[in-house]
Amino acid sequence: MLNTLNKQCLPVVEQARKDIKMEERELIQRAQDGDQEAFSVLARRHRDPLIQVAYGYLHDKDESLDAAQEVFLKAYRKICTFKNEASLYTWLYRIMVNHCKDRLRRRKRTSAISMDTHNEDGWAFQIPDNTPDPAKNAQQVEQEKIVREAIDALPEKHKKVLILRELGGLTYKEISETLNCREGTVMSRLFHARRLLAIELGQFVEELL
Amino acid sequence: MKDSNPARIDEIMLSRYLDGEVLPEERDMIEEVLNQSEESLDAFQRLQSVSSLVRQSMHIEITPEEQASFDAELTRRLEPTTWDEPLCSSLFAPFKYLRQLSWQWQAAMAISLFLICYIPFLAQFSIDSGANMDMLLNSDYSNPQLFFDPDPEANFDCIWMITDEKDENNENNKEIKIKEDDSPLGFVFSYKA
Repeated sequence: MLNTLNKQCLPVVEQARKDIKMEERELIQRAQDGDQEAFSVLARRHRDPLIQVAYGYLHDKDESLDAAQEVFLKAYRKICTFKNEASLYTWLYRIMVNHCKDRLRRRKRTSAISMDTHNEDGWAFQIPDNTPDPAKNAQQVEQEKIVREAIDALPEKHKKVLILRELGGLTYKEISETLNCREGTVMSRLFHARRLLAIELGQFVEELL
Repeated sequence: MKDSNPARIDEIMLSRYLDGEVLPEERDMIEEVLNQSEESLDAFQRLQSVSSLVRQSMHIEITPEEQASFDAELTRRLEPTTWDEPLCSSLFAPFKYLRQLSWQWQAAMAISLFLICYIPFLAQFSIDSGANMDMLLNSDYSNPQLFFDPDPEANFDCIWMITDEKDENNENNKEIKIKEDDSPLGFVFSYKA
């Protein structure tokens, strides 16, 4: 049951987070002093949830991996400007959200320029690979497509909160730090996002009940 | 057996409960209501279903091989390259440290640099007064001199004479007569070659 799980796990998770934060400060300090290995350790820690968030925006695995690479490179270049009073976790997510939005904008512009996959110079435009995973059955693929479209149709501010919570696994406090808004705002946006999705995905929700 | 008309919980609170973002006393209260109210339980289960639908549909599996290749690629890109970078990047390398400073420091450094470059430029003119007029007047002179020359008998508050050291006969002297008035500038001046 969810409540029992919450009761048992939350204090442990909180303690683990505190320990990680303590150690993370040292790693950040070392990275700021130019220690590349320390930064690699930080990157490995935050890699998977960051890629998940990128996928929530871009819906393409290769592009998400590429986006995560670029975000880490950006963060490495700017690590000296990072102040320790903020959390590295939320700082990286902020960079990722902005980076994904830039990519989507560029993607839109590119597709507006030409539907052709090659431009005049012969360079190939990057087209997201939406080929379904052969391991998934057709119904699953269709369901995922509909859910993705429903999420994309959400208002931007609701979508951001939903992705950071469900895919990034951030707490309300971390989301509020990332998006620079109040926790109450996060709470209400998340609820509205879920309610809108429940209406939009009524058929799938009923199946799961 | 559930009550036919139990207390209902705000759905926002259910959403918070789902995320584990409630206080312990709120949690106990919510669980009690969920055990009694069919309607609240249904609302909670809907929120739960949406959450798991999103997680299932948007989740990507990253294999250990992909993780390893990601880490290797990142390490390679983080390593400072020396010979394969274009010349301009090594030329501009010192500026990357400046870019890491806050904007206030950057602005202060830009102003200091401007003043350091501009003060010697101003110092080449020996001006007794009216330093702001030199740009207007010295264009034809290799070494202009300005003299403050008040003339109480004239209808002006002061006269500036501009002479050229090389002009021994003072044939090319120029004078500016300045008088205070009520205009927005606060003064008028006339210029005579």
